[in-house]
Amino acid sequence: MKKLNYVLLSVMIILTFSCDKREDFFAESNQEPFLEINALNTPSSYIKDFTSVESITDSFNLVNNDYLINFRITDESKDVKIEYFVDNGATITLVSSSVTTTKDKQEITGVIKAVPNTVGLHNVDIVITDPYNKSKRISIKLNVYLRNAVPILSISTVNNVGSNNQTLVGINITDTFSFQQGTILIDYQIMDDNAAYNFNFNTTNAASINENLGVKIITPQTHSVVVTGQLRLTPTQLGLHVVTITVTDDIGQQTQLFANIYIMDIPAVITVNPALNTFTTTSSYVSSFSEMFLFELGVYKIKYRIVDDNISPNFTFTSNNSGVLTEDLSARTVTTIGGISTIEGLLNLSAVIEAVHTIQLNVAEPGGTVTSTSTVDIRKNKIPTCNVGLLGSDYVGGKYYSVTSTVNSYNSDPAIFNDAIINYDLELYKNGSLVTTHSTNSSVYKFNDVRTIYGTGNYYVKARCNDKYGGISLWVTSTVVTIF
Amino acid sequence: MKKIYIILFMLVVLPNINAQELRHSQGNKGLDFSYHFVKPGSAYSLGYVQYLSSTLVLKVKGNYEKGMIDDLETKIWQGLPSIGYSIQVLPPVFFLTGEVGLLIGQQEYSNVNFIRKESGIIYGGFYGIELEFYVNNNIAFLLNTQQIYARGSDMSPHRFQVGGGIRLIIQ
Repeated sequence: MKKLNYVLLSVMIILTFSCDKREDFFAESNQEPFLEINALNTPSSYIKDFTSVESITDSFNLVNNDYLINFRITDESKDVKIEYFVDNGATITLVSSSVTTTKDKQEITGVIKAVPNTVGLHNVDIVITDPYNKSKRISIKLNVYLRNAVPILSISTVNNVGSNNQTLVGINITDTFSFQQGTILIDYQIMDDNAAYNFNFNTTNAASINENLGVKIITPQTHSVVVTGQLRLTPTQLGLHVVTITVTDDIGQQTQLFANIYIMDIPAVITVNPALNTFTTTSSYVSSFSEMFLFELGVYKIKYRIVDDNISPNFTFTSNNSGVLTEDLSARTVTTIGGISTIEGLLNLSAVIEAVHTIQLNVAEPGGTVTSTSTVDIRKNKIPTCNVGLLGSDYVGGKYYSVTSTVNSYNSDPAIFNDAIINYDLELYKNGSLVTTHSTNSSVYKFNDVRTIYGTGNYYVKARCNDKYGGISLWVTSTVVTIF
Repeated sequence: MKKIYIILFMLVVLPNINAQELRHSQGNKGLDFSYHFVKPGSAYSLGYVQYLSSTLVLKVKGNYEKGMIDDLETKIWQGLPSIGYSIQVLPPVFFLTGEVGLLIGQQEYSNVNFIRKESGIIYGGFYGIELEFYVNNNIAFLLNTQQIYARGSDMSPHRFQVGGGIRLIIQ
């Protein structure tokens, strides 16, 4: 038992001194310090916003004397070392700095001044290092020059559908656009030997204008800078919008151009075509039509076509007399050529009652509302009327052996439905009793040899006629023919 | 030199031999004062002990630890309730106790180079051994070590304390 105790004792002692792996986790999680700069207070600089890009190019006009760099350092450690260098005999000094401490970070802001003495390329470096030797460097390639030319400005509207402008011309421009285009893009390019230009733009008339900063590109040249960008003009009414674009350099030299933008709205053209229906008199697109249609045939189909400068016009359609007018969206097609869209589609009219249905198609736009009005006279099928005559036939040996009926039918439907009698029902009576029936598609029918089959007597015929759409006339009776 | 051994024998061994039945007796209570070495610094404990039987002992300790790990300053306040099992190594003078217990406490960390400080609740457990050397029925010298596992911060949860102290028995 004692041995066991001592073994346990030894094991516990070994385990007890086994580990303490605590380390300075603050130091382990240390991040490199964050450095960002701008040269906002240096007129010729184009680094106007804070940037943390490691290598950046800037321009400096010697007439400005000092190249002032604002810096901002953020780090979680207390003692960040700041170093700064410049080559070619230029001098660089720390002008000012201040420290702001928050709960877990420290921010150092300040100004470094570089004083280049010669024209040409200078390298300015700022390096910060934290207590754990993590560092961040920003290198500035500084183009130093001594001159000042008038800024060059050019503008264009070629990025728009239907523009007639040239690419980036250095003169005032005039262009016309559809209101439906919405936002008009005005490209600009500035070339200047001084990046400290002032860029302004405004517009007359009811419109908003702003800069699309997402496409702005600044390209530093040896002694100049080229800036390309884009303005976004959004008119809210028709008419002339004069956009004024001005570039002014740091000594007041100015270039100004105007973009005269005419905004118009081409009225839509609506045409219709009922060619898909059975009883059509129109086979091509027309501004309106008047048609008749048989209720029993169901849906009346109307093709429409809208030609407009709006690819998605505000299109509505109505029918009166409880007619249900719907669009078959699967049949809609849109073709756009040169900013003009052709929208074609199919409307279905389901009539509830027999009536003249007025179909209105509307396109409402700022340029005006266009309406196409057509009518569809939807009628229910009417029963036909008829009369029947009966004559003796097959006169042999002074006697008639057969009788022939002739039915004259009259359709009370409109003329376009008149050719629709398809069938005649005939009943042959002898002395008032039915002897046979017959159905035929011919208006003249001969009952053969009735004298032999049914014998002599007084014969007459009852007849009725059926039209194509289910209309059945009343029974009519012929005169009596005596077969002896 | 022989006189010193004789004095020590009379002071330590004889009283121990005569009063051994009073030690580790059920119901005995004691107060502990200990100093510990830890990896980055030192720690202090104040404890209360109660013997449940001749082999089982209940302990509650308050412990304060302070030290530096590189540039990191650590401060820990912790409570350590535990239960121990004792064996007689050299009766009645030396007793060896293995103990296991829980831990809850508060810790603070700061680095001289950093702005921020961190603090938080820690929790976990520990085990340890303690050697008691009884001078008489009321006083015992202690040698102890404990391995601690405590979660609640970004630090490694493993650490140990080793040290010694004195126990005053309240019978």
